[in-house]
Amino acid sequence: MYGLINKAVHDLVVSKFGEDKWTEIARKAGVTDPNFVSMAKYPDEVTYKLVGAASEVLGAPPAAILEAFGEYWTVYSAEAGFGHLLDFAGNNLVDFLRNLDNMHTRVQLTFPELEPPSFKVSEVTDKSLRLHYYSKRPGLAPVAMGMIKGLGKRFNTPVSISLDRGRDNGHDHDEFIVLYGEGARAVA
Amino acid sequence: MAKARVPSHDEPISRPAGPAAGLGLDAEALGRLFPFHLVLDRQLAIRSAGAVLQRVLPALAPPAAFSDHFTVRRPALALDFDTLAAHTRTIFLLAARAAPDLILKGEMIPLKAGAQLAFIGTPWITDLTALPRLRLTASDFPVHDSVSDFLVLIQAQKTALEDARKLAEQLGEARDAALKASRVKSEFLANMSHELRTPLNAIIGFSEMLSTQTLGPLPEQYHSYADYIRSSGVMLLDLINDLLDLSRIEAGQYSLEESEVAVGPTLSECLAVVTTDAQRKGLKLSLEPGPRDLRLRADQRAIKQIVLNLLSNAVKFTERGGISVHVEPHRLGLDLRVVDTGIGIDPIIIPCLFEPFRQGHIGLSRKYGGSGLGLSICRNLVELHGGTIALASEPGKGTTATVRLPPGRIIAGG
Repeated sequence: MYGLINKAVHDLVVSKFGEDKWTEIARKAGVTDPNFVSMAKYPDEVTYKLVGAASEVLGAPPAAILEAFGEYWTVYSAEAGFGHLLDFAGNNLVDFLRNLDNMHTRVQLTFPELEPPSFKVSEVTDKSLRLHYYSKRPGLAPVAMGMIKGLGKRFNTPVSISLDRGRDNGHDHDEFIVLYGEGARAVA
Repeated sequence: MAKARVPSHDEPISRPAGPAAGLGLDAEALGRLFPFHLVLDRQLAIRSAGAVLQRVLPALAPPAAFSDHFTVRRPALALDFDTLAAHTRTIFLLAARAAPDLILKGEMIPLKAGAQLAFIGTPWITDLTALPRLRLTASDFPVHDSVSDFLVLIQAQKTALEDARKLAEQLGEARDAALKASRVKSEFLANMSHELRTPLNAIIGFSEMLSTQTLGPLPEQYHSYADYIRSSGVMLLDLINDLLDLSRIEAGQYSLEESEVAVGPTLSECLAVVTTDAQRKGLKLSLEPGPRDLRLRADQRAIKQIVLNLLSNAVKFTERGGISVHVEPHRLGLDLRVVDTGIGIDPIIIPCLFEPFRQGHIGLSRKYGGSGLGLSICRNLVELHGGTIALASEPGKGTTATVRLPPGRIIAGG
């Protein structure tokens, strides 16, 4: 993972729980230099260890930490200077999700070692869509769910997301049903 | 093997004949591939424009005059059909009159046997903040267009620079904090050393009175205890004086008191101080004082301290033979050399010897005593005079310490 991701984990922990908790998490994860460089690549293991340590220190299951991270990522990446790119990817949830895969592919040109997830959108209506999530990394479906929630906030649209089919049940990818706008209000 | 021929720059690239030559694209596909295109007729009226371009420039309704809506920023040319058509394979930058942020980069392609001209291009965006002003999103750009890749690259570069700036700032802050801590430590040491000297003077003074039995005879054992107290007090005072000097130098509080220093007599005085210790070890002392009237502009106390330090080191680390002091003025200044026939030093540790507090680290102070500050103080005092100090040595073959003072320090006899 690029340093930008680890910096986001750092910022999430510090903004919600304070610097002391971060120091404890970093120590537990064995991170000796917490000054991550955004454009440098770090082993995935660093991020997984940070999540594991955060789960222990904060007393929350890893899935909850990952989902919180996914939601925070939409805010952090905008604040870290990529806000215009997020605007560029679309000014509503559906357009954004449709452009997301292309955007990740383009980002790969700049971050050649990036191994981004892949997203596909199908069954789009004015209330719902099906989001297909492919990742070579295990266990990160909660990040995608958190990210959709964060995007709902970004576009000021209520969203409700549920895992319809998952890799845990033998599928090659995860599929989420995303209700948005009126669709989400109806189930609220 | 014959090399494939590469077409020259101006030579048209050969195309397959038939419908494939036009890719068989319909208007919708063309619009999607080139959403910022323009088609101009011979009067330079805009016959058609890409859908996204028309959305961004709502006033652009064909058949509008090209020059009402655009200026050609590059290349510099006369605005007529034939001139534009003659500039194929040329990068055009078109500036939209209604949207100052919108520059289109592209090229002119003659169409319909020269009856029309197409401009095929895309927004030339170097600043991400222009995007929201132009209300452009990724969906507006064809997939083959590299502008989006370029935008990611620009942002990544900005982020990397911002990272570097923040890291440099953090490093600078850490450096300032470390320097401040070091300065505070030096100031503290300077003050404390002074506080320590005051009671020591009383200890040394009164133990000396006991030792010399000024007020009457003492039992033998008490007499030797008084000697221990006095000699330990003197050792401690030497240490504290070294600490005081070093901390004053590090705190920037040491300023030279310059005067005319007669080199020969000064060196003789220094030799006299170590004569007793040298004689006790059977070492021969000698001085080659150089020109008789050699005089320097320097801080006499500092020069004495430097030479005494080198001499007492030489005596301390020499068991047989002797110590000689040489003075040699030359074109590059004045060399003062203290040469001994002592145990010598492993060249690897020589640089460490000029670092304060390092002698203890390399195990010399335990065996030979001393604070380990002497050479560091010497180096600082020499450098305050604009000079240099160097040690040359080999284990078992003695040591030569050379102090070189700059030529400007020589007043006479150089």
